[in-house]
Amino acid sequence: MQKTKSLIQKEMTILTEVSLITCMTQKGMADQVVEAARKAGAQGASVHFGRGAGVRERLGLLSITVESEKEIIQIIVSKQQQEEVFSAMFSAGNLDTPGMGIIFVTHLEKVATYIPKEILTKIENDRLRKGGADE
Amino acid sequence: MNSTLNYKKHCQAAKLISCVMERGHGESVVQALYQKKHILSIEYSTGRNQQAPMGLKEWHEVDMLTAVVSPEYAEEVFYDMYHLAKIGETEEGMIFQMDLLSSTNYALPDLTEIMIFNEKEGVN
Repeated sequence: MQKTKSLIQKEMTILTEVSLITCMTQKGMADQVVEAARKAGAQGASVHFGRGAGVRERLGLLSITVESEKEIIQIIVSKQQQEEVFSAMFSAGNLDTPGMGIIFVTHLEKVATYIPKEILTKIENDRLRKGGADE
Repeated sequence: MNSTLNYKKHCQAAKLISCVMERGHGESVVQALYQKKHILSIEYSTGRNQQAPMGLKEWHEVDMLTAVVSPEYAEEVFYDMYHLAKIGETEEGMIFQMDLLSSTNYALPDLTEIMIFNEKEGVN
């Protein structure tokens, strides 16, 4: 984690070594996938709707079994948590069943987010304490 | 082969910057940023977000903005977007940046040129 200052001298906390897990599931599945991700250690999630195409067209009459409306889940996790969260989401979304959806990981260069002051203070204190111990 | 060459001429490396912000802020951020020439494309959609650093589990309605930017200006746009979207001030705020291997420039046609052409050609 590093702190940088912008041109207008406002401070922001940048997180590195993070990944974005994107999961597209059938409509109505997002809540259980997010819940599984949270149990595996994810701090949050964003969900929005979309519409799928491709597999449905190839299935012909059988396409009625595949919901065209999708929910797209985006979760940012640290590299250490990535495997565990990915695996939990995969299982919760039944993604080993054809037509249920897809999940993939993207490497992120950097992330900035809202971090409560108490947590920032705690991190800063821990860093100072660690620095003092090293000296 | 020719078509490959043609499309490659229009492609360039770029950065994708995406941010999640409080519902209702998306439009103003797009308005503030879209005229900057180094922004190749910018759009927003709506969704819901759950951030739980303190263990809370509430869903919030959010705007989700995505911009494709030239690599040399990514840093500047990242900071501008961070402050315009008030990422550091609201619980649902979040912004991230990633590499894009290839991107075209989303450009709208110049209407004045088309009108001049049509006038010359006598097209209504």
